[in-house]
Parts: sequence; C-alpha cells; structure tokens
Amino acid sequence: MRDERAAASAPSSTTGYPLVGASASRAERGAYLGALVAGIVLVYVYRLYTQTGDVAPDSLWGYVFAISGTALLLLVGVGYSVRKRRARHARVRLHTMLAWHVVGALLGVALIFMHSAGNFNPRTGTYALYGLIAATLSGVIGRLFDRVCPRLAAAAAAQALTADGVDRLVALQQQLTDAQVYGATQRRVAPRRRQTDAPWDLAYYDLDADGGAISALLDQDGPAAYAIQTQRAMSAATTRLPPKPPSLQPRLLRPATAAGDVAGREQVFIGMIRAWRRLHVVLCVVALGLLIWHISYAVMLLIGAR
Amino acid sequence: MPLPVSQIVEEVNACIACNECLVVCPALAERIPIETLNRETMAGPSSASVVRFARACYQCGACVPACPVGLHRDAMMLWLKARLILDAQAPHPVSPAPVAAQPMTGDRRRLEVVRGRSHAR
Repeated sequence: MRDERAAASAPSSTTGYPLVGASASRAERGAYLGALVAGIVLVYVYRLYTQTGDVAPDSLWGYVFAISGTALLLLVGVGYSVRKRRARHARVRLHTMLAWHVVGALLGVALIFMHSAGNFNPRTGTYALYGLIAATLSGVIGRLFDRVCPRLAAAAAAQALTADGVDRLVALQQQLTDAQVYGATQRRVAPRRRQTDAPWDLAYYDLDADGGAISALLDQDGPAAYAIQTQRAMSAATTRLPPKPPSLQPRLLRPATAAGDVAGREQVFIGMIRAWRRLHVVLCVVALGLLIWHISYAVMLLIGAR
Repeated sequence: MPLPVSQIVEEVNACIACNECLVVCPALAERIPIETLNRETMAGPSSASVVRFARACYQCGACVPACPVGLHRDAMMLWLKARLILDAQAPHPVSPAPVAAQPMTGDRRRLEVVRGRSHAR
C-alpha cells in the first residue's frame, strides 16, 4: 500500500516513451540496494579469504562459497520459474521476484568466482563456470533487450498507425479509393454538363453542310462533336504513352511506401525479446547440466580422497 | 501489423476483467485495477500508474496464454505505448475514436455472478 502511494506521488510525465531516464520501481530499487550491500560484503569477505593463506576451491571457505553460490543460483532460478507457474497462489509479486532473480544470479556467479579463486585448470568446474557466465550474460543482455526492443516496437507501431489508431496503409488505401471515386464521378458529370449546352436534336444539323459548317459544328460542344472528338482522342491515345498519373498518387505513394516499410517491424522486435528469453532458458538448462557434472565429479573426488 | 484501434476496442470490450493477465505480468510493479487499464487503453488521458506500467511492459507475452477468453493484452499494451509516442509528437494529446458504452456481455455478467459468490463466502 505504501509502495502504491509512493509510486503515485512520484512525478511522471504522461506522454512519451523514452529509452533512458525512466525510473526503477520500488522493488527494483530495493533489489539493487540489496545487491550493492551484498557486493560490498562479498568484496570484504574475499579480502579476508585471500589473507588466510588457504586460497583454493577445495578449502573450507572455497566450499562455503561454492555451496552458498549454488544454493543462491538454484533459489533465484527455480524460485522464479515456480513463482511464474503458480501466479495465482503467490504472495510476492512476480515483478519483485524478477528483480531478485536478476540480483541473485549476479551474486551467485560472483560467489562461484570466489569459489574458483582464479583456478581454472579443472575441466568440469571451468565448463560449469563458463556455462553460468553465459546464462547470466544472456539474462543481462535479455534485460537490455527488454528495455530497447519494446520502444522500437512501439515506435514502429506508431508509424504504422495514424493518430486515430487506424492502420496507415488502410487509411491511405481509403484516401486513394476516395480520390478515384471522386475522379470517376467528375468524368461522368463532365460529359453530361457538356450535353446540356448542346442542341437537343440532331435533326437541326445540316447534313449537306460544306467544310466550313462542319468545322463550326466541331467547335461546338454538342453530342456529335463530342463523339467525334472522343473518337479522335481514343485513336490518339493508342499511339501515346500512358497518361501521367494524377498529382494525388505521388503524394500518397511516399507515405504508403514508408508505412509499408515499417509494417510488421514491431513483430520483429517483439520476436527478438521472446526468442532471447528462450535462448536464456536453454543456456540456464545447459549451465545446470554442467553444474551437476561438476558437482558429481567433485563428490567422486571427495569420496576417493577418503 | 499492430492491431487497429477498432480491434483494440473490440478486445477491451470482450475483456471479462478476471485480472489473470495482470497476475502473471512480471512488469507490473503496482496494483492497477483492470477496469482502469481497459478504460485508459481505449480513450482519454492516461493516469501516471498506467503510463508507468505501459513503459515497464516489455511485451513478453505472458498475459496472452493466461487470458481465459483468448484476448491479446500484449497488442493492447502496444497500442498504449504507441499512444504515448503519438501524444508526445502531437501538439495536443491524441484522443482516439470515441468509444460507445458497451452493454454487459454474457461473460462479464457470469463473472459478476462468480465474484458475488466468492464475496459471499
């Protein structure tokens, strides 16, 4: 409740979708603060550890780091997955769990590094560490994608839609259709208007007229003259190039091309977010397999030593 | 293609307000009533909490399989984000097409009955 009140009182612009500068939530701030404190403590403990003289992965402190790091990684990894699948019955918000999932993974890998103590000779341990680093890095990069890709997707969507939320291509198509209908109507109306000015009966035309009279007739806008002119225009059109498109078409063509270019681009960015998440899960499973391999190898060594 | 606003309005009207999409959302950091989110998705100015949620949402799509009536909350959120951008570009905030008040659908009525029962317990 306090969280909600604090969040509500925080100043926030209600427009724009900036890439940088957006504030972290209270849960995230808490997790980052916890990580900072834990990180300082770990650095201090590691300094004490290096002063003991027994700095090795199989030393007492080495085991402590190994067990606590593995436990932390399993806790935040499995805990988040379980919380995601049991959303209805959980008390902690999934957002809070995600913040601690990120922080816990970073601290867990730091503990495993402390366990290794710079000894990268054993194959199983080194591969397990590489696996953990790959999984953690993929998570960090995934969080960056989570930040950038939605903004790029929203920008593409804003370009693909008009301010009224209509698909820009559909809106342009509608404009073009309206223009064509308007043009066709104009073409239909124009001959009729000319016909109204013409003599109403062909019987008034002189069939035995000389050349001058025919020229005078053609200068008129009567139906016969119009028919002759149309025939002439049609015969001329067969030998001419296609007429220039109306001026409206290039005006619509540019935004139509721009809208066509961004069409579907937001799905690419959204697909990147989801594909990267799958990659992160795969890398986590691989890292878990390598960790189990390393633990079983270490247990065998311990049993053999006894 | 992003869903046009007409389809967004249809989807919002089809929402039964069961809140499942918000329960499974990993980006939601504060409590937002689904009715508020639906109303502000369709039209009008957005409140600070809804804007924060729209900025925090990263289109993971967890809300889509959770919806019992098969709606696309991710598409609604994308429209909300696009509106944030369009509002920032426009000299005056963009107000989408006016939305007619929808009659209560069968699903919504059924949900009210279910809620009534759960409150009675």
